[in-house]
Amino acid sequence: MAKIRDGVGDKGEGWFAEMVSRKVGDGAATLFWNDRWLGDVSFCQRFSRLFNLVENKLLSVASMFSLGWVEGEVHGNGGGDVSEL
Amino acid sequence: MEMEEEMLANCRSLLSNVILQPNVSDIWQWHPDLAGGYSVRSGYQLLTSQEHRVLDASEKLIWHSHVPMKVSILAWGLLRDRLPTKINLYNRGIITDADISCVVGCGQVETAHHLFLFCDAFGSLWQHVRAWLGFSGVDQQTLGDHFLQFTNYLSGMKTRRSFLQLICLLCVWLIRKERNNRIFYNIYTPTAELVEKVKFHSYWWLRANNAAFVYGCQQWRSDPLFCLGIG
Repeated sequence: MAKIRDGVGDKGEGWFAEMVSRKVGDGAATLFWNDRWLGDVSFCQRFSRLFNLVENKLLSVASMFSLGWVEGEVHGNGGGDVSEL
Repeated sequence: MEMEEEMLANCRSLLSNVILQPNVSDIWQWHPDLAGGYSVRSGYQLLTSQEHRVLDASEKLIWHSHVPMKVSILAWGLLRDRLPTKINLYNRGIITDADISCVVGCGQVETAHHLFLFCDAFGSLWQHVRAWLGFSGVDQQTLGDHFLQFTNYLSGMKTRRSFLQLICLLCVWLIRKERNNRIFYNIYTPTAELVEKVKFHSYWWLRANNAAFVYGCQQWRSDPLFCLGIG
């Protein structure tokens, strides 16, 4: 079920997911990384390497905004982590 | 690492124009109809306007006017390998690899391919049914090819193809049923009896849909092609 919803698998099962996205208002009910809300793909796909570094992967758009977007999250891990990859 | 730094810069610039609106809820957007939102109608239009997937020749053999719908749906699932065979259940994490072998005890993994074509206990039905109809042949490597080959045994005449298609679907149905009987009810039917079921079921299916079908069951069993006028 989850696979079908995420559009993983064979033959065009992602047709539905491709046609829906989040329209963000206050950002409280949209997942920053996983939902598709800005641009053509989700942030976790587009910025996959940043996503790997992020500790809390389930923050809402509103929470990320209040943290200063990606600055706090990604930099919070420290440059050391980044270069060790 | 430049890769991450670059990504971060891209991400930052993408976000620089974002303005959140307090007290406005986030909502879903349906792209084909932004104003109206999702409807079954627009989903249907989206799917039907896309280019049709090319059908395999074998998929044209699924539907038959004298064959019950449930049987055709089974064949549909079979040709796409979507039946809950043990290997498929295992692949989806429902059963463990300790439980994926064929119910017969032949030591093989229960795939659709094995069950419906090559297992001695189930797949041998095809050989017996061919003998009943008076022709011989070997089973193909894939189920799709098997469907096609079986249906075309008696040359290309339409009535013959239609009849063999019915038999092919019926065999699939009986194999599935026999497999389930063995697994869930511990009931075992010898192949010879399964062949009898093929004869009876095909007789009923054809009779139920054809008022002009005047032959008795015994005659049907001994010479079906003659009864159909295609002998």
